[in-house]
Formats: sequence, structure tokens, C-alpha cells
Amino acid sequence: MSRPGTGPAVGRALAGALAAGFILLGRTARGEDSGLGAGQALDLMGSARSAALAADTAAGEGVSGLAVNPAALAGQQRPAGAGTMVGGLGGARVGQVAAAVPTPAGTLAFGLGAADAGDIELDDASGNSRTVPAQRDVLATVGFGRRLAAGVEAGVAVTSYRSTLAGTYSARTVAGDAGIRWTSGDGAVALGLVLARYGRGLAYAGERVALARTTRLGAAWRPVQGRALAVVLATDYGAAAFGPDTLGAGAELVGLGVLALRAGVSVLGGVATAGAGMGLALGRLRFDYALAAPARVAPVSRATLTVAL
Amino acid sequence: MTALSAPHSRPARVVVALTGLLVAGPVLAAADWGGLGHAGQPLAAGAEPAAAYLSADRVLLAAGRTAEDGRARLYAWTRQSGDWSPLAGGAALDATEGRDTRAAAVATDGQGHAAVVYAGFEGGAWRLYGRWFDGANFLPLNGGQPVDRGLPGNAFASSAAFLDAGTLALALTQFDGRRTALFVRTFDGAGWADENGGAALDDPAGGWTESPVLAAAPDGTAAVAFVQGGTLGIVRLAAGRWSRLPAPGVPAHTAGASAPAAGFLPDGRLVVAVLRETGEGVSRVFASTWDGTAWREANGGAPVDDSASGVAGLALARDGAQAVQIAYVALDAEGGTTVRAVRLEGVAVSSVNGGAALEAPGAGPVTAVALAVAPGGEGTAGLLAMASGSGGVYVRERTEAPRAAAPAAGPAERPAGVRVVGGVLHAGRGESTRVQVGLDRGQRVRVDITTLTGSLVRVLADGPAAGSLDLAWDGRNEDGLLVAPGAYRLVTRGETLRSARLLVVVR
Repeated sequence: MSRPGTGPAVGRALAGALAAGFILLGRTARGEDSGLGAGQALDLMGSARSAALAADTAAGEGVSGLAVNPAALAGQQRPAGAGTMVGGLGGARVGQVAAAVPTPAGTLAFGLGAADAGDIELDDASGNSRTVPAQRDVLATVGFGRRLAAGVEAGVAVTSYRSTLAGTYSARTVAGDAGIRWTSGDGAVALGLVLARYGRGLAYAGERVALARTTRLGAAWRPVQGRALAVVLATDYGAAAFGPDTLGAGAELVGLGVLALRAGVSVLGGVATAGAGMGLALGRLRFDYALAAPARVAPVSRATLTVAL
Repeated sequence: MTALSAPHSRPARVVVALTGLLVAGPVLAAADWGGLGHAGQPLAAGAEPAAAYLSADRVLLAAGRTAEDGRARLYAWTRQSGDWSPLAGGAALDATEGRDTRAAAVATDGQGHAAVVYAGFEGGAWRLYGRWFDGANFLPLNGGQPVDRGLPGNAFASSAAFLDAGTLALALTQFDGRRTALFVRTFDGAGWADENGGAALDDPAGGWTESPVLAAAPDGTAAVAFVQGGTLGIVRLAAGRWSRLPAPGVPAHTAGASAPAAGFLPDGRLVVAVLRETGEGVSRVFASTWDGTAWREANGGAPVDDSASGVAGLALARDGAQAVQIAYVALDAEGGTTVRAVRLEGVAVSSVNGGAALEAPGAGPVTAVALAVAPGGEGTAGLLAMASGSGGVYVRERTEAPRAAAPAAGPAERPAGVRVVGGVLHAGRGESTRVQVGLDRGQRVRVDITTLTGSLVRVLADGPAAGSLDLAWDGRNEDGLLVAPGAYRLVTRGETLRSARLLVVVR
């Protein structure tokens, strides 16, 4: 994949601006530590390719950018829809559908997501038991991505988020993501910066708890960009406002534009999660699958079906 | 270990063991307490009991009371294959001294001898004195002279233990002209010497120190737990040098520590229990275990007692090869007291005697408790002494062979598996979700709180356990910070048990 050249000086300047932005905004994103930010379901969205690579800020493609880096929406060249299902979360069910439509002004994207953690059995002190849904979340996202200049893309996404705990306590908020990505003239190097989950926070029972704000900086390198073989190496670093930072790295090999093999590892709080996945593209359809193995729970699987319209 | 033949000669190194401290060798087994000893009648003294086993079947107990002359005096009893009988003919140990005495510490060398160290008030200051019990008589230590640092200020609190080498070590607090500081002295048979070059072992820039508790390890090391400026401190003796350990307690626990107790397990782990003020303004019992690298909080950092109104005192002794028992005075809402005990194995806590009250019914409020263990293998004798405000010390003993620990009491018989009470937790309001894990056999168990995607939030238990585990989660992570609202997983893994339950946190 090649793009119109961007002057090396401009590219270096933008790369420096991205890094500086990460350093500065990563610091300002840190608020008073409160354990874990609210809105865990927001982090459960994302495509199978993103999960396998574990580093998608700079390497994201098209409609999948709605959940990772909205700047990637700008690269969507034809309308497409995608559906993702997540399994292996110990009874929790997570799903998302999204669609991206290129327009002359940029690419519009829409997404709907839902997460159901499963039922919880509540025993009172007398031993009586009842079952209620532990957590049910619904998300609706609108995104827009646009190419600003040769090699520079930017995007925003806004998510309306409603969450209900124990069938009783509800909260609503709106969260925003903003991202930018620079790609070198030959398409070999890309840098991305995302400000994710900025919003008012969630108040279930009076106390408003901030969302899990994160600032992510990613880099991707495509040393091989042939039709017979394409290779992507990517890495991400996420500075979290609450809880530990994340570090991810992954690799993707694509053969003949049809079969993709992916592997990645992410580290959160000193605990590593390994992931692996594959993708199969046939005509207008692409099927991606990923399996991630967190340290203390059963492996989490994710499947995405993308249809180019 | 050479026995101390007479206190004024050159005895071997002797360490006075404080009641309730772990002493290398004999331990309480995992069994319940029997009925009240001495026919349910109190021993005639009611203040600050301290006890130690002179041998497998003979126990020494010292406690204070107000004598006929109006002075606070120290008395001692013993029991050996029979009922309790007073020592020294029933006279006060300090009968020849014209001073008030209190706050005794008792320890034995394991060969039928004991040392008793107590505070006596004379010349406007409290000083520490000692008595050596040779099996029949009490003789003054140090020729009757004080055994403290000799500083002009008050020396009040003390604790002592026998090191493995048989050295007498005495931890004490004494006013040095600026503050009450922590010192340790040793007696090697030739004379008294000051540890750490005579320098205080606590923080020289810190506040006043109180309540030192000295524990001896089987390998000859030792540790002192103390409270300085309302904060728990720990110093450890290893390879002949004293050094400070980081204090246990997650950041969420406030200061306001008091009444520490400490002891070593045979494998060298140090267990410390302390009263700490909670956010609700009451003192609860918190326990931690030092494995040589880090502290692990018992019961997930939640209190190990079950008193909602607070705890007034505690004692600790080893219970089996891998566990300690903590007896405590629980307060109730009406201002009364009850004595209960829990067993701590690893970080898992279980009730003793099914959580039943151990004090003597109708004896009035309990002011202090003491625990002592007998030398020998597991399952040998143990003593629980409870001082009553009505003026007597009640005792319970365990003399039978060990039987399986009774499962903690609950509203119904608890089957094997995981039960959660309070699955929706309002974090930050002092609530806790209680987790009851039933085990079909003894095994290593790990209980974690994780996010839905498996990220570790908190470790509630990680160690060997049997019968049942009573755990609690207060909605905080390993750093003591409140977690965000949402669903979390309670993941339990044992050799015969696997469970993943959902919990919900609301704020």
C-alpha cells in the first residue's frame, strides 16, 4: 500500500508532535487514582484483528477504527459493515455491529454494542436466594474520520453509554474518543495517538465515577507490503488515568491478500495476556478470529465478520 | 538451652516470653477450647493476665490485683495435673517491694523455669523489675534492681522472649528525656547488655512508642512489633543486627494502631495482629504475615474479627504448624464484651469453637485476654486466660488430643462450595461482601477478585485451608483503592474446588 509522499520534514515534525502530545496529554489524563475507571464494557468492544494484534492504534483498518482509533475510519474506501461476537468471558456475552460509509467529506461510521455480564445470585443473611442480571450495558457510537493532509488522518467518535447493575442501578454517560494518525509516504511507518473515553463518568448510586480515560500512542511498521506477502509489526502504549498502564505488541502476516496470521501480547499491571488470531478474506467477505489467554480466566475468543458493501 | 539456676548467679541466656507470643516448639493444635477451668471460678486477680507453660503439663499464670494495703500487686498461680493453686503461698510476688506493680510479662525457658518482668512505681517513676521462678520459688532478677535501661524516665511496657540460643531478650519502652523510645536488652548470664549499641530501635524522628511485643523465631531471630505515634512499626533481628521492616497494612487502613501481637511460624513467617481504627471509628483486628519479602494481608485486608462495635484487646499464639490463633475481646452495641477466637492459616481466617463466645457467662466485662501454649508436639495443652472487670481471671484450657476444627457457625450447615452474602456491594460505605468457601478437605486455596476480562483486582486468600474460609471484600483493590462500579468475578481455585461467581460493586 503506497500513499502520496509527505515531506520528510513534515513527517518528522508530526511524529514529534504526536509523541509530545502523548507525553503531555498522557500526564493530564491522569486524574485522582480510584482503582479502576468506570465503563469496563467500553473496553470490551473491538474487532478480532485488534484483539489478536494487541496494538491497533497505528495499525487499525477501516470500520474497526470505531472502537480503537477513529482516525482509521478515513482509510475506509468503500461502505462496509462488521459484526463482532466475544465469547469465553465466563458466561458474559458481548457483541457489536458497525458500519462505515465513505463520503466526500470523510467516512461516517455507526456502531451498536451490548454487553451482558451474566446473572448474579444474591443470598441474603437468611440464606434466601434470587437471581438478577449483574451488569447490562448498551452502547451507540457515531464516528467520523477524515484525511487532513497527505498521510495524515484524524477522527472522532462519540458513544452514548447506558449501564445497569444488578437490575436496579442505572447510569448513563457520553464518552468521546479522538485520534490522529500519520503514515509515511511509502506506507511503511505509521504513528497514531488516541485520547479515549473522555466523558462525565457514571453515577449509579450517587457518586459519579470517572470513565477509564486512556491516552494511547501506537506505532506500526510494514517492512513488507507485497501482494504475495505483507507484514505488519505494531506496538501500543496506553497511559491510563486509573489503574495500570498497558503495553501491547503484535505482528500480522498476510499472504496473497487472503490469509492473515496474527499474534500479539499485551501487558497490564505486570500480567501478560497472549493472543493469536487468523483472518480469511474471500471476495467481499472477511472473517477474523482471535483467541486471547488472560492469566487467571479462561481464554477469550472474538470473531468478526466484515462485509464490504 | 541451659537452665537458669539462680538469678543472681551467671545464668544462661534467658529470654522472657510474653504471654501470647509464639515460642519455638510447642503450639496450639487445631482444636477447640474446652470448658471453663477451676470449676468455672475465677482466679483471684483481675488485671492484665500473662501466662506461659513451664512444661507440657504445668502452666504459670501471673496477674495483678489490688492488695489489702491498697497497692496494685502481682500474683501467680500454677496448675499441674490438678487444679490451680497460688504460688508464693498466695502472697504477692512483689510483696517485699513498697511499690505499685502491674503489666507483667511471663516467659519460660521450656525447662520448667520462668521469668516474670513487671513495672513497679517508685520514686515518681515506673521502672521494670523481674522475678525468676526456679520451679518452686520466685527470686529477684538483677539482684532486685531494675532491669530497664536505667534512664531517669518511666519504663513501663515490656515484652520478652527466649531466643533459640536461650538468650533473654527484653523489649521495653522508656522515656529518654525527649520521648518514650523502644529499646531491647539482653541478659547472657554475665550481665545485661543493650542491643543496637544502646540506641533506640524505633524511628528517632517519630512520636512516642508504646506496646512493644517481642516474638522469637525457631532460628534464633526475633521481631518486635510496636506502636509509634499511633502507627504500627516492626523491627527484626537477623544475623545479629536489628533492622526495620516495612509496616503491614494496606493504605486504606487508617493509622490509630494499638495493642499489637506477634509470633513466628516454624517456617520463619512472622504473623502480626493489631487493632486499627476503621473508617467507622471503631477498632478492629487486622492481621498480616511477612514471608521474608512482602506482607500478605489476612482476610483480604478486611478485619479478621466479627465485631461490628469494635475490639478492645487481643492475644496471639501459634496453632498448629501453619496457623496462629487470635483471641480478642469484642464489644457489643450495649457496651458489653465477649471473647472470641479465630484461626489464621496463610491469609485465610476461620472461626474457633464455631465462633461461640468464650468468656465466662455473667462474669462482667472482659478487660484483657492472654494465650499460652505448652511445649511438645501439636495437640498438646493450651491456655486462654480472660481477665474480668468483676475481679477475676477465668481460664479455658485445651488438654485433649486435637480434633478436627469445627466449621464456622452460620445460619445453616455450610456445604462444600462458595457462598456469597451481599453480592451487591456499596463500596466506600464500610460494607463488605462476605464470601464463605466450604472445603471437603484441607488443600491450598486461592481466591481472587478479577475484572470480567481477567485482570487481577484483589487477592482474598492464597494458602492452605481446611474446613471453611470466611473472607470479606470491601471493594478495594490491592493498592487499597476503591474499584469502579461494575461487575467483577470472584474466582476460587483449589485442588478440589473451582468456582467463578459474579459480584457487583455500586458507588
